[in-house]
Amino acid sequence: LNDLTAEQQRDVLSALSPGASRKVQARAERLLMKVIGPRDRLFSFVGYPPTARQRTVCDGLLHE
Amino acid sequence: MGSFTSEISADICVLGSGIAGMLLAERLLQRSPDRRILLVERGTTLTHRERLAQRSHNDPLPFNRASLEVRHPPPPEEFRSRWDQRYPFWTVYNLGGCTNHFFGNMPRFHPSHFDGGAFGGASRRWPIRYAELEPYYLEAERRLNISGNSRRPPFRGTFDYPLPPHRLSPSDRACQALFGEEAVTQVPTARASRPVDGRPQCCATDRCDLCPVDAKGTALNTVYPAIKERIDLRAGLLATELHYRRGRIDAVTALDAKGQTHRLEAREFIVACNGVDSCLLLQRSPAMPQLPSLGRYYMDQTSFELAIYDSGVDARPGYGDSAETGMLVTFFERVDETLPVSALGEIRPGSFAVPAGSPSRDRLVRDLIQHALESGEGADFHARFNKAWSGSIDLLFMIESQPLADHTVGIDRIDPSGQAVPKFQLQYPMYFRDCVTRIKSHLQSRAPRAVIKHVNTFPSSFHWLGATRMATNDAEGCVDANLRYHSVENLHILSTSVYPSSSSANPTLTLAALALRLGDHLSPTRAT
Repeated sequence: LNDLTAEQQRDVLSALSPGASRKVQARAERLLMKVIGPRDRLFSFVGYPPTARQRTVCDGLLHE
Repeated sequence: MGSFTSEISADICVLGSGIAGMLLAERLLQRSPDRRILLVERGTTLTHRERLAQRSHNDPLPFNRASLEVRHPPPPEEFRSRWDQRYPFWTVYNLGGCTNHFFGNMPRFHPSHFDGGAFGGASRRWPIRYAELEPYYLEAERRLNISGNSRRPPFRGTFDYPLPPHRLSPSDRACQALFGEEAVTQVPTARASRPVDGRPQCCATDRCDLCPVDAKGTALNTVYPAIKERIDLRAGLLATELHYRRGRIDAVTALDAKGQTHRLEAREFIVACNGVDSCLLLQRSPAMPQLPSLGRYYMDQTSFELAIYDSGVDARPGYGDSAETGMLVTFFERVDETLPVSALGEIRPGSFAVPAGSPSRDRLVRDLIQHALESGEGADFHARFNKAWSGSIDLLFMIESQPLADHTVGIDRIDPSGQAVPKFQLQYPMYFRDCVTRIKSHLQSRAPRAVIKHVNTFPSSFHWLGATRMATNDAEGCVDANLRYHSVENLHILSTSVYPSSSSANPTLTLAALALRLGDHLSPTRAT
């Protein structure tokens, strides 16, 4: 989440607090979607190896 | 020759080189090797390798992969944001037809889907029974090297898949843990579970529509090599008119890429185009008897997607997570006793593996983020998200369509290449909300701790059915039980457009079985 500014990171943090309003959560959701929405970001975030974007390879989720 | 550039003659003329046309041609040659088969393909003859090199399904035809506006009344308010008004008609005009880009799922229809159980009965009854088709199902599965679980098939019957099933993915196993072992079995598939016929084993990832290693069986890589030396293949020819005269088809007019016309003559004509183009060819042929059901009763299984979260399971992506190794069969016969509509669940968490930009995929990821924000504990989003991710399952349900007379396919216009561009009229299925509610409720009763959300709705599953439906008489249908067009002696329709009901299963295997059956019907003296 380092790509977020300090202020944006604070926004995400406040969305994690118990009782965060829907508005705060919606903003955090938008920010997070930008950061981890793309596949390479998402996979990196959950500890998956880099995968090729090309359609000409079988990149495989052979992680099991 | 008149105004035609050429005249081409044969014993049997097959229009369309998809799985139906190819299998039929092969069967006809098996039964009568001397017959002259003319196979006409509207598109190109690119090999799989060439399509891969272009990194696209798009051949030079501008009409490929069109998304057309659907003129249906809006769905209920709660579904509007999830209901796409654009209707995808993503066909592939190339040797091998739509199998070039299908995902390879090859389940049979459930025996009850041939009966009149749902939607008031008679409107969906097939004039043939499952038992008549079962031997052809078995043969089609053998011919196409289907991988599947013969010991635990989707329903009781005779199954003998030539290739073993794919192993279950983590999400499949998570579904078993949540909803019962009997609820999940492997999807019968043309994606080879081990090397076969010179094709490698499928690695079960999300590249099936244009498989990078050619592991998926298609009409092009499986059937065409066996017949290519024995047929007269004419590619780049678009059939534009069936010439009807005194109860017979005399000839077909076809247009090539240069705009020159050709006359195709034969004793028998088979329209084996896709489920929409087959109908359009009949509609654009002015002398053809336009039967009351032509272009009506169009179906395309409406689909919806559920996101399921349960921290008690480990469903992190692994083998098979994007190629749908497992399916949920709980609702395959019907949703429940009082809603006799079929629903087939595809377990497909690999949607997360699709690169960003697909609206349905983005909705899933957004929902996952939302779930992590709402349901987790602690200030570490990374930990929360990982927990949500590992317990998340994506289930896609295809719902049986209702065959309604005012669900129509027609010709919108003829484009500059001579192609008929279709227009569709579809209504939002009124039983759909009930299906979602009951399926969610059933799943929730089996997994009380799980959070189950309806995240996506799709008007299409890319299965185009019903516009030239099968019925015993020409008042109710276009073709008879042997797929002969009512009132035309030498014309058969071999397309998913002949299905009187849609089932909720992928329709390709049933079409393959019908192709073999039609081949026998047209070769009565050699049939075994």
